[in-house]
Amino acid sequence: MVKRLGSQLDLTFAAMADPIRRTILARLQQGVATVTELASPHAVSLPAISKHLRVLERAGLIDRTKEGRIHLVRLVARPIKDAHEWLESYRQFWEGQLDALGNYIDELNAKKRRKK
Amino acid sequence: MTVETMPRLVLERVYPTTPEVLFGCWTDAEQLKRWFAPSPAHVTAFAEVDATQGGTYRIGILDHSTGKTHIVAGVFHEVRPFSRLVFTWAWQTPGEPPDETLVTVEIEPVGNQSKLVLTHERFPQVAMRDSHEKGWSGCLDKLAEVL
Repeated sequence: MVKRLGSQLDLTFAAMADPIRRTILARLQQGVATVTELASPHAVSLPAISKHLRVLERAGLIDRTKEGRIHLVRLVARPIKDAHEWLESYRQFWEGQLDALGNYIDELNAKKRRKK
Repeated sequence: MTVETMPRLVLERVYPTTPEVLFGCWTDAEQLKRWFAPSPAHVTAFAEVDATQGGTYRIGILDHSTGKTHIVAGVFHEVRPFSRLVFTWAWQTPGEPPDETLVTVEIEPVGNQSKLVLTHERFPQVAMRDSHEKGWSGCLDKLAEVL
């Protein structure tokens, strides 16, 4: 009834559970960046940023390539898109449920009025 | 989807009833059965609800088009009468580990109506861990005061 994607979704959501990693992903949505560029808006050391990047890489949300001595980081869009679709499938499910709850409450109210 | 906020689903509705009635719609199995089917093609086959902290629930939804019953089950983590329910949510698929998620239902009176906010999140382990951490740091703060 609702889309199942299993463990990749857990990886995606776990990786996104951290606010610094979410800002990194938001920056990468605008295009490729170097590690230094990704670290600059944060009051966090370069090693700490590297640790966040490793989490994102293991979850398959980013991809790193080396050009000469510069590491370039890019977003892998698919898992985030899947997470979005998963939430959308639940949105449809719950919209239907909450409508049905509304109809039920209307029925209860109508019954109460008839009794009066 | 913007990636700047933790991805979660939040829906809000206002119903023309009291928080007591609205809360009962979720916690009383007989009432839940009356409304909890996602479309006219579905029927709530059964509903077992023990709405107490640590209590469990199981709901079976029969899909007339396929003849299959989908089962969803979970555990109540928080039950605050007429205002708040937190429960895990997992569709049961034979032979597959359940896909566990977390649902929070918050109810508050708005004039003579009731507002319901439903939040559905993917990662109950994270939410639980965070709340445990908060519990712990609270304990540590108190300890620090004593010391």
